[in-house]
Amino acid sequence: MHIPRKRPGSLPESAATPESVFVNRRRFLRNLGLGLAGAAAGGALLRAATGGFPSARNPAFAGEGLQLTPFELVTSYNNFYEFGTDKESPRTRANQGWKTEPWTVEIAGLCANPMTLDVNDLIKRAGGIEERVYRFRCVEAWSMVVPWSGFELSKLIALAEPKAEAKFVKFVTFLDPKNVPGQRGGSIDWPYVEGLTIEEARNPLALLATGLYGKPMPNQNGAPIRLIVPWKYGFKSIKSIVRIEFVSKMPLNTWRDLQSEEYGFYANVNPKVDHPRWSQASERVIGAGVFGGRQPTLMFNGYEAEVAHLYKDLDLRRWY
Amino acid sequence: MTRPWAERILGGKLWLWVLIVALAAYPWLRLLSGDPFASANPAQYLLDHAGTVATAFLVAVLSLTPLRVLFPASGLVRSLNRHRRLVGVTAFGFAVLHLGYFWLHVDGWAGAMKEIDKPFIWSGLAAWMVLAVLAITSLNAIVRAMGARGWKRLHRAAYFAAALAFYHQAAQQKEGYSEALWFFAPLAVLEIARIVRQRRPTRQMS
Repeated sequence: MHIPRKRPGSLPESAATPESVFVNRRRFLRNLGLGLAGAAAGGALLRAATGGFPSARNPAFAGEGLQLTPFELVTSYNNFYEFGTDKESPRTRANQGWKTEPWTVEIAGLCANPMTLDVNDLIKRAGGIEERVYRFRCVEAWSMVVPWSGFELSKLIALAEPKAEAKFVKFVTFLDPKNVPGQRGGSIDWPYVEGLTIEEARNPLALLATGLYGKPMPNQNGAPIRLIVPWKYGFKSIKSIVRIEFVSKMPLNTWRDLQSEEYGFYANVNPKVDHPRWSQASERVIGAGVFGGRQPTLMFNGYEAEVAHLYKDLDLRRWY
Repeated sequence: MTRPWAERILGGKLWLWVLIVALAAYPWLRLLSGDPFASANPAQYLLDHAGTVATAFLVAVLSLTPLRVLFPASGLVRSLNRHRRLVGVTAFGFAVLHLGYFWLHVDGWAGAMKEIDKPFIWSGLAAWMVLAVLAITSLNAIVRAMGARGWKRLHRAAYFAAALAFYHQAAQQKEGYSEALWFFAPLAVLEIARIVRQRRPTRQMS
């Protein structure tokens, strides 16, 4: 029989803060954070695509058992090389003159219905947005849990009606070096490009996100519309998309172009295949604190049941 | 006159100790203030900060000799050259912090073992070990026991440590190695200028 031993100094259960109290406190802190961030960004949080809000959480993607990463950290610790290679720059520099409204998205390539439309019209045509809680795992071995708002990529694919030759979907980010400092130099061939196989793009997990924490997408997180493919490393989840193209050949995604021996096309989260410079077996959880330690990384970032079938004939060590 | 005044300050240890303590405390102050950029991934933040400072001090100590050769008349350079040992040992001090934060970052022994096969990691560790030998042999008694020539010969290994540190820092950056160049390119320029300067008189004599 297991008898729980009380450690010296441990508190009785009755001393725990009731949920209603700490949830309110969190909400208070979160609102405070939102207000401050909004004030600092000059209301930029509200400039992105506002279509579809408020969004209801889809209970099938409620992320049970996951602890959300605080809003302030999700919107502060960003990799967005268009605004600087460090984590701090995007929050300030993405809110200094770069316009994310109005925003036009072009759907092109091998499809029956190519179109160019405003992002809010796209949201409408896709049938509105919903909220989903996803794990987010960066290739740099850190992770977050984020409540995204958006619509399934498969809905856009249905609107476009790709032809049979369309084997891949290519995504392209904006090019605006005048207002976007990182695009004026550096070693990246702008604009940023990403891609998925058409089967991956049709997977119900693939999301076109237009917001987080129930609000329009902050600029530093990829306003107004970005991809979220939670079973892949974060760099696959391209931000601020202006063009979605159906193509027959595997697109050359930006990081593979830059360092093909380190970053592949698939970039599926895989604890068994290391990055050449660091282990991918575990990850640091954003917000866990100095002594928060690491947690083991899950195969396909915990979405094995949903996506493993896509790769049953693929050597994941070779096709990293 | 301002010059001797500046030389007197720079020649003293106070400013250097203030700088060292401030650099060590700075990331912790940011963490304790709840700064979201620092506290999002604090172990990574501490690790990166200590590594950058260690590199800066290593580059600084290696710059002192070429500066002395190139500007022998400069009082400022002479003042700075008084701190060679402290600057060098501080580079190792921040390398110790860096390794400690690495330990924290990878969650101890088991995590460290998963990283040790990567050239990125062992290049840093090798640089650390070279710096450790140089720091230990900078104790007064050991300097005396070794004699000036032996000590000098051993401490040329600092250049080897710098080469390893350059690789380590370049590998740390994801999309290039511009950060490492910011530190090491000025040092390379100083070294080349020094070699040119030191060769000229011998040629004139022969």
